[in-house]
Amino acid sequence: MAGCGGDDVAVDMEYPVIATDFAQAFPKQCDTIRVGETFTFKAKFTDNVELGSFSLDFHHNFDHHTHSTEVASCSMEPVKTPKKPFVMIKNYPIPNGLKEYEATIELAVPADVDSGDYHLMILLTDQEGWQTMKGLSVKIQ
Amino acid sequence: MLMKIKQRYLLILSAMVMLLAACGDDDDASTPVLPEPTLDAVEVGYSNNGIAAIGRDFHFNAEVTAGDKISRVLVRIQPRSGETYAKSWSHEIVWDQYKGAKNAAIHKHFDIPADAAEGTYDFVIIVEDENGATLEDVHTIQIFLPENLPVDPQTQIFTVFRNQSFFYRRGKFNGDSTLIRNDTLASQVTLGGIKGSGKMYLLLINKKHKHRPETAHDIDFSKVIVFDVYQHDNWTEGNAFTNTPIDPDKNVALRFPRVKIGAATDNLMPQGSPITGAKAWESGDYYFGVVYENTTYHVDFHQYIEFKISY
Repeated sequence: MAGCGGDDVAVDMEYPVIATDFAQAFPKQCDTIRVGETFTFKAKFTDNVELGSFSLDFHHNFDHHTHSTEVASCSMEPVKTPKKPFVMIKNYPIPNGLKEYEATIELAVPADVDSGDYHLMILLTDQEGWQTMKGLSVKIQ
Repeated sequence: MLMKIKQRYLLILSAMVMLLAACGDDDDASTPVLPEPTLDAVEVGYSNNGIAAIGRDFHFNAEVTAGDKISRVLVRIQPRSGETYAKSWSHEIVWDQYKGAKNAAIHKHFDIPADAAEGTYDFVIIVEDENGATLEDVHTIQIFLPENLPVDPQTQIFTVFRNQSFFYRRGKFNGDSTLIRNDTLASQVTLGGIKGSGKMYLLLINKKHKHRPETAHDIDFSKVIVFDVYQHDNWTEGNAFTNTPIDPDKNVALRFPRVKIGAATDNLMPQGSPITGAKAWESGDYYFGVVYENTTYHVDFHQYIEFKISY
């Protein structure tokens, strides 16, 4: 059955790509953000057909947990119990019809959150529904 | 905590000479009355606030005009009767390099020694004239351990954004240090150790003006482009003061001022000032910095960086 239209219809089989390896990208692996700091999240997203949407998920890593998606660790503080950890989960649209997009999101970390080791998970979805996740270890200080 | 500045001029020798002169009046009319040295523009501590921190830099300024010629200038920090101190401590610094000068602009920075004891002291400026006259000018200073300073402004965050990317952060430029026409400049400055009432100015100044104000009082608004003005009122607890306070629920800055390189007006409050005349945009080297004034404790703070604008 798959063979019927196989020759004509291109089926998107590729994952979208998240890049944080350019000069203005932020945060990068092992970067530090100050409590109370205003910053701009910047990353480049590409897809072979069309990008869909993305989300950002900040959560603490005071317990040194792991993700199924590999997150390389930086020099970490000892395990500790959170009191008021920074938590942020937000979804963002990407304008229609784009194969390339540079995300620029102004964010700020409240001044009274726990400092320590955090993960930032970037989840990028293309129009077909393929998802790519990139995890970064960052410090909030 | 207003500083009371007590001034007493002791002109012992000059008074003696005057007496002598009076005695000899009949014999020799040519014996002159010794002119006394004078002081002007005295600043004891930054902005003349009389606050000193142990182990930290202390600012002292005075313009001396000799009666005849300066012999030497010294300052003494000495305990006061009626005050209690953890231990006996006093300090003297002598400057010989003004010897023979008719006048001197004395601008000194020295560390308050680590062995100093906290408390209220007399800060005595002594000018010895070659003609024998001595001027003593007594001021009050309060010496604190750094951790006990009533306010102690320190930059926790000093970030400049160019078109929503970091341009300058954590003490260094993120690549190129030039802004160009139509770039949008934004900035976050957070000062820790703040209490009471105060105001911060973020300023962009063409270096050609040779104007780099260190206090709010010194700002010449005809020469500066005001990037931001923000104030705090009557804080009873020590806290950090930022020009970009944050909405903790949305994780965004509640205010995030911007200026486009080429804008017609700046962000002076309550009314923007036109960026024309002496401060019109042009290519060149610029200062960008924070000038903070604490009106409760009379403490000033400033910090500048420099970058280029290519217009």
